Amino acid sequence: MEWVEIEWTILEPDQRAGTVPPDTAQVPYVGRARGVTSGGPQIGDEAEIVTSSGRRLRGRVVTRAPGYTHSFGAPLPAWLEMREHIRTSVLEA
Amino acid sequence: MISTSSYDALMERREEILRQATGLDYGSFSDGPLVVDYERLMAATGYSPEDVRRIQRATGVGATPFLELRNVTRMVRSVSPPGYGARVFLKEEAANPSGSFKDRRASMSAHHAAKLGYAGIVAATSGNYGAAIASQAAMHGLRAIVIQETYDSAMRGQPEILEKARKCEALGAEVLQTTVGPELFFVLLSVLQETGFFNASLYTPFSVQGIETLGEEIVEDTRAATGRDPAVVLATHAGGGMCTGVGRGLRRAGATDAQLVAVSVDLRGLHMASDGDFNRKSFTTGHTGFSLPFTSWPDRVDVPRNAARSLRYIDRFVTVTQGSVFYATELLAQAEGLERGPAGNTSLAAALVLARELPRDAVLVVTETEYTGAGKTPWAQLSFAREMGVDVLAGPPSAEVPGERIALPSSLEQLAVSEVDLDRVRRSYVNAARRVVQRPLDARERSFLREDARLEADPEAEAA
Repeated sequence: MEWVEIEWTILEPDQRAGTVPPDTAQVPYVGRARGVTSGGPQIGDEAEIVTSSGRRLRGRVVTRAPGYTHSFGAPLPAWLEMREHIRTSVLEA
Repeated sequence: MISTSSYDALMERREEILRQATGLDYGSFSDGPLVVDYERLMAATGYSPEDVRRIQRATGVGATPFLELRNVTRMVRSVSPPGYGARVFLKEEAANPSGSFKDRRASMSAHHAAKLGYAGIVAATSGNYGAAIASQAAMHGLRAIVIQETYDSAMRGQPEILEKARKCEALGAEVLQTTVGPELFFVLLSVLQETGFFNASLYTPFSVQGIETLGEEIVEDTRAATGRDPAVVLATHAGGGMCTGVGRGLRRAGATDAQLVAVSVDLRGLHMASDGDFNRKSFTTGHTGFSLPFTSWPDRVDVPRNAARSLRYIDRFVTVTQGSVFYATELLAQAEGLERGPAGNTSLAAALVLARELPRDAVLVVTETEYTGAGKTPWAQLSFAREMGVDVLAGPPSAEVPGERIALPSSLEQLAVSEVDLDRVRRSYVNAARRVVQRPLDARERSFLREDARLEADPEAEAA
């Protein structure tokens, strides 16, 4: 049993809604979901997953054992300037 | 991939799918494409205000702390004219189970879906609402699917949205992520058809009724803390649900003199369905990309008629810059010891400006906070903005250009709001109505528009 992320094309560019702007109309509409699979598929393989809601979805495996990599970020110079002002005014108040 | 014929076939079945997925016969509240019997639509939930409180309390939703921001008030007074600088209070909505006011919205849908025997609930949202749906579904023993617009075509996702996906998955929901596009509605329909789950849309009467308690609590809390009614209540405006629900709650609690101010982050100039613009904004909700189109045509939603009709309730509409909201976020953390998510501080950013306009004994209430975490911090979002080619500079709000430059204010005096001309919004709504009806408006339609857009005169005169 393995936790993977799959991807599939929902709509090709020529199937997209008529209202989308030109840059969006040039690219496919793509879906991704995570779930449990078996058989040890490799990246790029077609696989079926069972999602947390119990649905079965098929697609290409894009990540095996996907985690979360979003972070707290890093400070930028303009942020530091704002922060210095806020520290000063908080201490003065 | 699906065939074009199945796409068209599904879109043709939308009314039927949505009726089955909400249990509401929207046709019975509508009279043509424009007129909706709004109070009958709101009453169609079958829940009284007392029922809503009881249902929410059963899952720990609502009755959140009401905090006076004493240090912020002191700082605002130091830049206000003598005798000015209102007392600033804040409703700590981050204390709801999933960390935002969205639990109030999700609570009624989840309760109703469980009562009617649906096996699960579905919502299309990239916001905190997903976590609220996941949390409420868990509490009610329902399955949950959150459909989230997440990535641009290079599969880059904003840290804030990635964090919301993580939270949904942590609470047991399936998260179906898509690239940019309005076809999200098609995905929603296909999931509803496949699963038979309840459509916990942000725009049903269940959702809006769930927010009314926030307006009522604000009045009760303000009276208890100060012995008076709030002079100004600030609510973030995206699709209009918070302004509508809070406005209804304020009225029910009898705070008829409280001015309700809608606040949105200014993202004018960015196209919300553009693959290239998608990641050039640091706010994924509560911005003008929703609030301007939704106020000028409320029925552009994932149910046949929108229960969030904010023009009925808002008295003033202002925008703030992204940089101003990051400023307010830092100030809330450092002056008040409350580290909260940036997007939930949109109204606070406007409060720092509007409090200066009010006398010292007046009370100004900010309606929300939201949880924070990795991805939902100024650092994470500003770093990502810079990776996407957006400049991040020190400067006043006037220096900000959505999608190109974020200006971080370097003093409280620099903060400012921009007024949105509500009469102009009302006229756009009337013009949109004309385009939809495609003939002169009849007497019923004109009367409805006067009520729905709070027009002072007959729309025939307004449009002229």
